[in-house]
Amino acid sequence: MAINGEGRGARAAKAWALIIECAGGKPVAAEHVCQAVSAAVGVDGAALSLSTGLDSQSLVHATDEVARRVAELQFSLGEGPGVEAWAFGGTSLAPDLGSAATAARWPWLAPAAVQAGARAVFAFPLQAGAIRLGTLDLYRARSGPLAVEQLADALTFAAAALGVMLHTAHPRAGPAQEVQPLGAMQESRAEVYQATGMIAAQLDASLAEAFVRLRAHAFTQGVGVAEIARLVVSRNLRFDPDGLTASEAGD
Amino acid sequence: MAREQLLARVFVELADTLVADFDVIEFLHLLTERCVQVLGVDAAGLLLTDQADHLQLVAASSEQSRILELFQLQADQGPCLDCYATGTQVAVADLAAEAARWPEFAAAAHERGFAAVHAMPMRLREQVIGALNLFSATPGGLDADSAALGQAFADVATIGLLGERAAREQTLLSQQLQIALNTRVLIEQAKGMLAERSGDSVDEAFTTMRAYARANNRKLTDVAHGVINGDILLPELANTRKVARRPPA
Repeated sequence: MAINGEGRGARAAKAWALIIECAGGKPVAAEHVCQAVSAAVGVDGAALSLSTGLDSQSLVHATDEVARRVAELQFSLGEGPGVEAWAFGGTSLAPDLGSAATAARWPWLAPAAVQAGARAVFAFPLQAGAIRLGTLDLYRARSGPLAVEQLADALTFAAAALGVMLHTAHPRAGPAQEVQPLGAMQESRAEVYQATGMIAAQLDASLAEAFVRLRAHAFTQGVGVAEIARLVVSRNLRFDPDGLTASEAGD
Repeated sequence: MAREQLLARVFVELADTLVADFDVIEFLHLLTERCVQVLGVDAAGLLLTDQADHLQLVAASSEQSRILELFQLQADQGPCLDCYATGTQVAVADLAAEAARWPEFAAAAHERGFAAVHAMPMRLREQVIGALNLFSATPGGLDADSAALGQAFADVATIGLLGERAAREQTLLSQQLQIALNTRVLIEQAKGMLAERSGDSVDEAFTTMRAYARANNRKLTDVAHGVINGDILLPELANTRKVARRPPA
C-alpha cells in the first residue's frame, strides 16, 4: 500500500524533481513533463493535448512520432482514450488496443493506433474540478496494464502537467517551477478549492486563473496554499482585481 | 419505527437512487446521512483513495466546515487511514485513551466534541478503495450489530460508487474513482463561488445548492456546474433557500 506516514507528498516531489531535471535550467514546459513521465512510468512515449471542446483540441507536445500520431488520430476520429478521459473527467486506460473488447469500444481508433505503433494507451485528464485543460496520453508499443505504482506515478505527473499548463496559460502568475507542484497533500484540501471559487468571484476571473493566483500568492508569501486558502474562506483575505497582490480585509 | 423497518426503507431508498445517470456525490451524501440515523452515530464521512498517495473526502453527513476538517485530517493520521492501510475495521471506543497513537487527530476530534470513532473499509476483492468513517459524541463505540450494519453501508457505498461493470474491470475502477473525486472538487469550487456572491458561509452555500437541486429535480453536480458557469443566478438560488428554510407545516 502506497499510503504511509513517509510516502505522502514524496511522490509529487520526486516527479517534480524529474521534470525540473528534464528542463535542464530552462522554464518548465509540456515537453519536460512528457519526457519525465515517459522515463518514470515505463512507457514508450507521451503526448500532451489541450482541449476546449470535443471538436477543439490541439497537440502541445509529443515525445515521438507514434505519440503524435495517436494524439492526431484521436482528434480526427473523435474517439479513443484521450477523448474519453476529457469527456468524462476520469482516467481512460486501454492496456490492449488489439483486444476485441477495445476494438468494439473504439472501432476506428483501435486498429489505426495499433498500425501507428501503439498497442496500449493510457489517458489522464488535466483537471481540478471545473478546471479542465486537456489530457496527458501515454502509449506503449506492447500491450499490458500499468502496474499499481505506475498508475500512481502517472496520476502524479498528470497533476504536475496541470500545474505547468496553468502557469503557461497565465504567465502573470510567474513560472511554474517557482511554485510548488500540484498534487502535494495540502493542495487537495476542500478549502483550497472553496477559496479558488471565492477568488474567481472576487476577480471576476476563471477558476483556472483564480487557482493560479492563489498558488502564486502562497509562493510569494512563503506559506502553504492551504494556509492562504483558509484566510480567504474565513474572509480575512481578499484578492484585488486591480493588482497582482492580495489585500487584507478590514484594515 | 423499529430499526428493521427503518433499515429496509433506507436500503430501498438507496437502491432507488442508483438509477441510470445518478449523481454519485448525492448518493454518497445520502448514504452518510442515513448512516447517522440508522447507526445512532453523530457524523459519518466517506474517504476515497486518489490512487496516488492520498485519501480524499467525497461525502459527509454534515457539510459544516468543522466536521469536514476532521474528516480531512484523517487523510494524514487517524483510524480511517489505518483502516484503509490494513483493510480491516478500526474501532476506537474512547479516543482519549488513544491520544498517544494519533495525537493530532485525537486532539482535533476532542475539540469538536467527538469521543469515539469507527472506520469501515470499502473493499473490492483484494483491494481497498476507501473507508467509511463514523464519529460518536459519547465514548463506548458501536455494538456488534451496528458494526456489521456499518460495514454493510460501506459495501453499498462501494458498489454504488463503482457500478457493476467498474467493480469487475480494473480500468473502469480507476475512471470511476477519479470522476467521483473530481466531482467533489467541482462542488467545493461552486460552494466558494456561491458563498462569495451571496455573502453566506461555504457551509450555507452547500445547503442552498442542494435545496435548489432537490426543488428543481436536478443533479447536484449539474447545479454546481450551473453556479460556476453563471447559468444559475443568485436570486433564483436565494428563492429556493427561503423555501427550504420554511418550517414544515
